[in-house]
Formats: sequence, structure tokens, C-alpha cells
Amino acid sequence: MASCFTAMFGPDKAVFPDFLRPDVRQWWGDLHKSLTDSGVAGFCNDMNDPAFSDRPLGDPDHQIGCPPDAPQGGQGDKETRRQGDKETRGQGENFIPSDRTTHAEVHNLYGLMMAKACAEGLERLRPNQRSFVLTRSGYAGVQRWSSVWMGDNQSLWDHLEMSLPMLCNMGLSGVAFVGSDIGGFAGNATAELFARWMQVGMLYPLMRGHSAMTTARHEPWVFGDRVERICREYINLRYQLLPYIYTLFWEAATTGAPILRPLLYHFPDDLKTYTISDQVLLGPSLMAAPIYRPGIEHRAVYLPAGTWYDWWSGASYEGPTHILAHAPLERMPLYVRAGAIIPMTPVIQYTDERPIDQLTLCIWSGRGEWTLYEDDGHTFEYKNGTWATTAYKVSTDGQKTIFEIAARQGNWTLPSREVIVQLVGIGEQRFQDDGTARRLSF
Amino acid sequence: MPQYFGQLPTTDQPWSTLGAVQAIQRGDRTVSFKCGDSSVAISVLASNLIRVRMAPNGEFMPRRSWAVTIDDLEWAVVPFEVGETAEVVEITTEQLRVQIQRDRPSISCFDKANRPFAADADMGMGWRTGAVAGWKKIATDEHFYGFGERTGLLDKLSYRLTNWTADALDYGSLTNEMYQAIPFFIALHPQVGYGIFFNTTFWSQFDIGADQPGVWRMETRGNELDYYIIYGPEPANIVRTYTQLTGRMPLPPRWALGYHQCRWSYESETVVRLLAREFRDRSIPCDVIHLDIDYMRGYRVFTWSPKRFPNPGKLISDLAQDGFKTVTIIDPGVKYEPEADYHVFDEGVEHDYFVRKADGKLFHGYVWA
Repeated sequence: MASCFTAMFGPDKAVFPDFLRPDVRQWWGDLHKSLTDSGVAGFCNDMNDPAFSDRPLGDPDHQIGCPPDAPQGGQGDKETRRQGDKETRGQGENFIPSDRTTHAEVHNLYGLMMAKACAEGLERLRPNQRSFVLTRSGYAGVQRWSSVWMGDNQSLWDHLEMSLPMLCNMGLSGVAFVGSDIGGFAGNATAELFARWMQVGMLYPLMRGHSAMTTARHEPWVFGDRVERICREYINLRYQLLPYIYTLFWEAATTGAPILRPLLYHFPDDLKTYTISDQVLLGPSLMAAPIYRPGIEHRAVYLPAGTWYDWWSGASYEGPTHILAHAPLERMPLYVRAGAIIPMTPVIQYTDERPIDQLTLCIWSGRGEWTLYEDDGHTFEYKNGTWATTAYKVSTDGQKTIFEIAARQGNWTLPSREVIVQLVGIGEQRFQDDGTARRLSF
Repeated sequence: MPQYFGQLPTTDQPWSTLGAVQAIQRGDRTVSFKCGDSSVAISVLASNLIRVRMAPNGEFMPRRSWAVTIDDLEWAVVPFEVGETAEVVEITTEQLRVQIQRDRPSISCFDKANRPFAADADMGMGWRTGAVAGWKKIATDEHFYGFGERTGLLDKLSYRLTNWTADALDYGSLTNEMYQAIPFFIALHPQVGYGIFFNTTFWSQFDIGADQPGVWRMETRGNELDYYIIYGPEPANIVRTYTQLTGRMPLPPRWALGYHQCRWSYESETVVRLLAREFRDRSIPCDVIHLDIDYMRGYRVFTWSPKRFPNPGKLISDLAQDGFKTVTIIDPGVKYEPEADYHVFDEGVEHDYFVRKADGKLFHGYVWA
């Protein structure tokens, strides 16, 4: 690996496209054709912070940042832009023709504009298929073009712990599609750290495992049978929850709502939630209280006002209260709110493995409403009305729990499927899904 | 490395502040204030969305389209009332009231129950060579969230947070400059919540009570102070309005919500095929395999290594048969390689696509080599 490192970090020069310019973005976007023609379906935009002021690594004498007065942006040919520079200098700092400016003003935009070039290129190159765009750097509004990951994290317990507040703060900053690399990028995860991280990773809007060169491998099966079983169970759970998570993505796309939320998002008048960094909500209904330290099998959990149910045992609690949760390595404590409606599907090995012929609506007694969003998951037909939403409502009538299903809205025709409504721990009812309104009583 | 002692205060030029309000002008959306040589403009864009601008020299900068998707003029005009007394000017919308002091211009907001929020501190707004800033009060029990990509825990009360994108290699809980720079935050105390979007792409910084307990500061190395106040009070309403202003994400493909597996690097076709097989043999769901920089020929962006990935089309289509999507990494740095028939470099030079320095010479840095 030594020779590889030398080559990797050797001081060869690179030049940097000015993504602020529309003509440059057009060119760069079109360059992706060489990869999309081979079938590449998504792109990860790295090093676009832009990462040159710390390179070559470990060689500070040769490190250079982009000078703040380097001209950037503007439109038109070389001469027009240069003319713009002269006018800018001639007219004082405040005169800036079109978007011609200097690096000082647009340094923060470098990653966003690269992601925009990529996303717009993919719209041209894959006009009928949605693409996946990921970026490391960005500025306000980056969510329009790309998802974001938290860069080069480390295989440390405190990096696992801070991943959730980091992602929650990103979500509150308008960027809902975010993730931290499971297992940590730099360094070697222990088996225990990796198992806990995969549990937490199930909650990340972007669920990605990654590891750096010269570190040990970090795939779900490299830490032995026990950890492999844990990874399988939590990745399975992620896939079972996809109808719920996909609806959260739709909500983010239409209202900006975060997918992963701190407790204060839903309980802004409860001061106790203001400093809780170690519990999160995936959407409105599912709360996780993960473990962030080795050897720990118990932890305190805060349950805000209302009734809460333990996801695993079904036990119920009246909030506001603190409880002590038991969390052996196989368990990430999970809770749902009374009145929660969580749609689940059978385990699949990948999202398009087969049409989903069974939808289980897990409900918990109480009062709650929730709307499921569905579409083909691939194309842009949803923009033409080819989608389906179904509104659900849980309520109580004396000792009975009532579940109401409104008639399905939208023009998407779903594959034939069975619906199982499961009042968790009590009973279930089944019917063939025909999109009509129903009222069930438990 | 970011260390506590790197952040001790330094001696700086004093701030200049605004003179008394001399003239007021009301437009459809904006109330403008002339204060000596300086100008302040307060625009009502929605009943819960106020834009504040202050130009020390009286001249506002041209509009920048880079972050805010909706120009002021594209917002539907909403009703608001302007009231004047000898001491204050008040702008009242359906959801809030903005009050401006006349003698030492400062801005405070109040909700319908008269609870103050986003109220200027004593300094109000100020400027000095190369920088502008605003100061506001931190209310009792007020806590602060958002700020883009931040390490550490959730609440940023007592932190100083810089907005300047950087390769945050080896980051930890003290790291300040991260990969993302999003000058937006949410301030929350019971019954009251608001967001601040600091509309500047220049270097900027929030100081949330680190310099002075009870006061937060926003500062940028730009020419004017420009920020949006978004009233909630619920965080959900604040994020909804903020994303109306800066945009929302498109719906991604459903497969992107599945499990992704990446490593630097799965360095050859053989390794990638074994990886994919392993997932299916072990019945561990996975949708996406990422190829890191080693798929390229010598780290040249938009190329394939002919040795290690001799037939990428076949590989990717075989992976697709097994239900895997392929994602590749892209770096912005284009290898500087004249007369080597590297099309990306050649085209970029031919059309002058690369960043140049002020003297016209190509800027170059070092990335992968």
C-alpha cells in the first residue's frame, strides 16, 4: 500500500471547473454521459468543498487555496467575461455585472454548483429515470440538487453518537436526505461498534456503509455470525419500513419536513426535549433511543407527553416520564406513539425484487392520522398525477379502536395486493386492496 | 486543527452603527428607512416572512440567484399596516409585528400575544472595513438548532459557528468549518420559535452567546447585511417557509432509500462481483454499490480504468440483473495533463472552463494524482 499512497497523495496538479458558469455546468453535466451510457445510475460528488487548500496532505509547504480575488461566474465568452472584470475593477466593489464575481463571494457555492451541474446533466441524460445525486459540500438550498453525507467520519463511538444530532441539524436546515457513513469511514470499527452503528444507520435517510483505504473491511458479514445476524435484522427492518420512509421522502419533497427529527420538532413546548441529542424520531411516529457506548445494555429514555408503546414488547407507558430501557446488543430501543400508523412490507432483497403483494398497516390504539404516498418509484410520471395517496385515521370508540381508510386518491394503479391491518398486540383484519373507503373496528 | 485557543478574541477595528431614521418610504412590500448615509429596507414577503437589509453606504447589491429561489417580487403581496409614533415605526402583518426604533435604529419582532423575538441587542446593526454584522438578544430558555452540518450535540447555544466550506478531514467535536455551509438556524423557546436565514455566500459567522452571554451575532465579509426572519412558532412551519425560500428536494428514486455499500475502494470488477454475490448469498438486502476513485484511469475524472474495469457496461448490467444500482464517485479536480489526449482537460482548456487567478493564469491545486 505504501507505493499506492505515494501515488495517491503525490503532488500532481489538477485544475478546477468554474461551476458558477452555466456553460461550464452544461459541459460538465454532459460529461456524465460516458458513465450513464455504461449504466451508472447515480453520482457521488466528492472533494468539492473544494478540497485543495489541504492538499497535498502532510505537505503544508505546497498547500494552496484558491485566491479570494480569482474571478468566477458570469456569462458569455472569454472576452465578455474579461470585459466584465475590467468594469468590475473600474466601478468599485459594488458593481458586479450579472453573476461575475470573485472566489471570495462564491467559495461556499462550489459544491452546490457542482451538484447542480450533475443533477441537471442527469435530467438530460436520463430523462425518464430519477437519478441519485450525493454531494459532500453544499450551501443553503443544496437540497434542490442533491443528497448529502457527513464526509469523512471516523470509526469512533463519539462519531456514532454525534451522527444523529448532526443529521437532525441538517434536516432542520432544509436538507432532509442525509446520512453518515455506517461503521465510520476512517479507522477500524469493532464488532460491537459496527452492530450498534448498523442499528442507528437504519434510521439515516441515506443508509450507506463505507470505509477507507488501509482500514479493515466493514461489510455486514466481516464481524462474525452474531453481528451479521444483527445487521441482517436491522437492514431487513429498514426494507420492511420502506413504504413509511418513502412517504417521509414525499413529505420532505412537498413541505421540506425533515425525515429524521429531533424530539423538539414535535414537542416544541416541552423544554425537556430541547437538549435531547440521543433520541430521535424517524417521521412523526417512530422514536429510537440507541446505544452509543461499548458494554452498555441499559439506558434512560425520555418519553414526552402521551402514551408510548415499546416497539419490541408492546409494553405501554404514559409520558412525560423517564424509563430505563434494556438494550442487549441485539436491541435498539424503539417506541411508537399512541395512534401511530406505520405501513410495512415483507422483507425483500432489493427494492425492485418483486411487486409488493402484501401491505401490513401496523396501528397502535389512540388518536392519529397519516397519509401513505405511493408511485412507481422510478420515473417522473408522478409529476403528471400518476401517484396514489391513502389517508388513514385511528380513533377510539369506548373500548373499541376504529381504523378508517379513505378512498385512494391519484391516478397510479397499484399492483394487486393484500392489506393486513394489525392492531399491534390485539388482532388483525385482512382484505384485498381495492382502494375503496373502509371502516374497521377492533 | 480547531482548538479553543485558536478562537480567542483579537483586537479589531470598532464597529460603526446607524444614525437616526431621517426618512421613511413605503412600497408594496417594502418599507425603506434612510439613516444618514445608510439605508435599511424591511420587506414583508409573507405574513410570517420578513427580509431585512442594511447597506452602510446606502446602495443595495444586485440580486443574487444562487440560494434564494424566489425573488422578492415573486411573492404575492400580503397586507400589512405601517404605524408611526414619535419613537417607533411599526409594521404589522397577520402573524407578527416588527418595530423599528427611530433614534438608534434597531429592530424587534413580536407575536400576536406580544411576546418578543429576534429583538436587536444594543449594538443593533453595524459595519467596519470589509464586514457587516447584526446583534440580537437571546431570550430566557432560548435554544438554537440547524446551522447546517455541525459536529457535537444538538443545541448550539454558546457556540461560535463559521460558514465556510472546507475539507473537514479528521473532524471532531471542536471542528468549526465543515463541508457544508448553511447560514440558517432555528431559535426556540416555549411558545415562540423563529428562523434566521443569513443571505450571504461570503464568509460568515454566527456567535450564539459565546462572546457575550445573552446576545447572538451574525457577521459576514460582504457589503451589506441581508437576512430573513421566519416566524413559526413551530419548527415545522419554520422549515416549511425556509424551504419555500431556498427550495426542496426532488423525489429520489425509491432504490436510493435502500442500503448502499461503499468502500475506498472496491478496486476491480472481480472484487465488485464478489461483493454483490456475498449480499445475495447471505440474504442481506442491498440496492446500491458505490465505486470510489479507483474505477478511474489514474484518477482522471470521467474515465474507466481499462485494466481493472475492462467492460463496465457488462459489469453494471450484470449487477442490475441481480438488483444492484451502480453509483460512481466524481471529483471536481481535473488532472492537469496537457498534450496527453485527456479529453476533459483538453476541452476545459479550449473553452476556458477552469478557474483562473486574477492575473489570468490557470489556478491549480493538488488533489488525487
